[in-house]
Amino acid sequence: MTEITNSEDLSAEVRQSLANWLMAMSDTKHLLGLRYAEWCTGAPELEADIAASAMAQFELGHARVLRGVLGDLPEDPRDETRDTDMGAWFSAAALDRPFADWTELVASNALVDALLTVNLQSAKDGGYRPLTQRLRKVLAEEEYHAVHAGAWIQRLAAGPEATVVRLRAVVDAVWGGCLAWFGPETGNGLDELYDAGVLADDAAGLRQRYIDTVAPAFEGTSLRLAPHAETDWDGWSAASRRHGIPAFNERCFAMVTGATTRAMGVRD
Amino acid sequence: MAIGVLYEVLARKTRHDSLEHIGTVNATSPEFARVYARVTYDEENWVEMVVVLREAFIPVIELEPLVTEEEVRP
Repeated sequence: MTEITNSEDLSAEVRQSLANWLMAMSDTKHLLGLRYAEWCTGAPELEADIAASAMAQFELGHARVLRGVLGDLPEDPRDETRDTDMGAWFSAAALDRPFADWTELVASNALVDALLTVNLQSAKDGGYRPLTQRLRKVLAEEEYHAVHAGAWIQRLAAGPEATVVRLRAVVDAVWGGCLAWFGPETGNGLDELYDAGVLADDAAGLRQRYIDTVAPAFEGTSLRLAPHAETDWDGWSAASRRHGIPAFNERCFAMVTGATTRAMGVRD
Repeated sequence: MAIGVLYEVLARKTRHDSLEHIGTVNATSPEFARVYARVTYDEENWVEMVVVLREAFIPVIELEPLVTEEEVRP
C-alpha cells in the first residue's frame, strides 16, 4: 500500500469524502460513548457497569483522535451550525435516542461498535499516514468491546423467551442501519477512499468484512443476521452515511454540543 | 446479588516481574471474566493478565479459621 503522508497528496474530492467519513466515524463514536455512559450505573451487574464506563471512555477518546485528523483537513465540514442544527451531526441512527434497555446497549455494542472497528481496521491497513499512525492503539482498545458484545449476545440469547424475542427485534432494527452505512453500489462515498489508497477495502469488500466480523458473535443462537437486507436508498446521504438526520432529545443535543457548559462561560 | 462465580485476576507489569494477584471479578463465563478483568484492573500497562477460577485452586495448606466453631458457640 502506497503511503500518503499528508492530505495535500489527495485530491480535493477525495479529501471531502475523507472528511465526511471522519465526521461520521467520530460523531458515531461520540454518541456511542454517551450512550454507554448513560448505562454505567444501570447494567445487570457491577462488573458490567465498569465495562460500560470503560467502553464509554474509550469511545470518547477515539472520537477525539479522529477529530484531530479531521481538523487537519481544509474540507472539515464542522462549523457553528452544529450547535443548532442536528442535521450537521453524522452519527448512526441507532444512537439517536438513549438505549431503552440493556438489549439495546448490547445490540449497538455488537453491531455499531463493530461497524466502526471494521472501518478503522480498513483505514489502518490503508495508506493514509495521519490515520495509520494513530489507529494501532485505538484498535487494541477495541478488542475487548467485541469480547463484551459476544459474551452478552450469547448470554441474552440463552435467556428467557421474552428476552430472546426482544433481543431479536432490537438486533434486526439496528442491523438494517448498519448495513446501510456502506451505501449503494455507486455514490457510496467509500469507493473513492479505496481508489485513493486511504481504505484497504472498497464499499462491497468492507461490507463483507463487517458481516464476517460480527457473525461469529451470533453463532449457536437462534438469531440470524440477514446479509442481503433490502435497503431503500431514498433519503440516504453519502456524507452522513445514514437516512435522515439525528433525532436527539433536547438534553442529549445540549450535552453533545456543550450548550450547557457554554452558557456557564467555561467553553467557547 | 451476583449470579456468577469468582475468578482471581493476576497480572505482571514487565516480563521480569512475577504474576501478582491484583483482585477478583464475579462472572458467569470465562469470556465475561476476561473482559471484566481487563476493564476493572486497567490502572497499569500490564504485559500479561490472566484470570483463574477460584474453584480451580487446589489447597496445599488450608487457611485456618480465625475463630473455631466452639468459640462462636461455647
